[in-house]
Amino acid sequence: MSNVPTDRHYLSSHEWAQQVEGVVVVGISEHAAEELGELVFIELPAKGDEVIFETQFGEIESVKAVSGLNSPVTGKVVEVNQELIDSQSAISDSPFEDGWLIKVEPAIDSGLDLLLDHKTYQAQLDGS
Amino acid sequence: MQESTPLQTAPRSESSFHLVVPGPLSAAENMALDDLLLDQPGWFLRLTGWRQPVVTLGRFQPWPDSCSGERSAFPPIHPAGEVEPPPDTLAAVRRATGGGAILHGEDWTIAIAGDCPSPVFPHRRPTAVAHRISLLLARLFEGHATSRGGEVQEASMQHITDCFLRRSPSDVVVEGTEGSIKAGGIALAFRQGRVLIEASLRRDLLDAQPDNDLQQLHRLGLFLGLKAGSSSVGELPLQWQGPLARRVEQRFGDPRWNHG
Repeated sequence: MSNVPTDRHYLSSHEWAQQVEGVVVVGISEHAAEELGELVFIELPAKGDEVIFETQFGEIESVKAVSGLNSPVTGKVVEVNQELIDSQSAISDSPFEDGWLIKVEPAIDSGLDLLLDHKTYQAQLDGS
Repeated sequence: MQESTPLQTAPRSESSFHLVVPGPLSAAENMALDDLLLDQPGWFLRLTGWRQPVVTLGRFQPWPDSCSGERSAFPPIHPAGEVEPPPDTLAAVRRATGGGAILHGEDWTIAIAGDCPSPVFPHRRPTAVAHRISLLLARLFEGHATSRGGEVQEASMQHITDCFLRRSPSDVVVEGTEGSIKAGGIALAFRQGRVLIEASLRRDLLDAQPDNDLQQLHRLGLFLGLKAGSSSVGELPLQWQGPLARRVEQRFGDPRWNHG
């Protein structure tokens, strides 16, 4: 069973968001990392780019499959995890910590209040 | 008790598939159409026709010039969309899907787009979707082709440009005198609850005759557990033509996208 931390919120498409001192950290869940399998490439937005709630902000390739990454928040990218460009292993090994993807300064209508809490996301995983 | 295979356990869907057979298109138009189908609601099975031989590159694949030490069958290529391509070169277009480069023209190229997760593909796991499609494609050539199976070793294959020189569990293979020969490869893209599957199969190894393409595509739709629906043969639906042209202009016909 995949780990679902209680201090984050989730999209049904398996991205997570965590608010830390006014910035929203974004990543993909352990379940998503396990489903994707061996990762070979990732494309993330640049610092300063805008991301929009539930809209694709990047792509990741695994097993000949390119998967879109959806943003759990609307806002401006303030930091990108550059270490992932060379090696994506942190996403598989530590999806909720070292494998974070981007940090976002949330807009007023950020969409964060529409995310799933950990119980609802866990129920989604249990039902799939 | 015998272990169930994905083929045996696949539930029948209530959804219908639509056959899309637009005839030969340019490299950029073909990629734009597949990309468009990924964003359209419904199930589409599509036959890809090429106006001329073309190389397609995986979404994140380095431009082949940068790959050294590989024995590839590709002739010199140039990015599709260049105003004046160098003489004696082939156009190359970048796909929305992953995987390695494929030389098209003599192959049987198809695409499938539909919902994922769904009764057809219950899980969004790339290996599961690839495995199922590989089994179904092999079933089209039953008694002749099989799905390779085995372990995923994607990362170790990235330096190899040519899809048909890579090995993957989802390869469609035929048995030769010196072991398995790759006769078909697939590539996937997942976006917003949808999946696009592009497949290239070698007609010479599979004895796949162009006269049977439509019938085989229809069979594949039924194998997926879908019901036969409508067909678009020749002209594409009018409402697709504007979005298709925009995707050609903004992405697949742009040398910057194709060169990467």
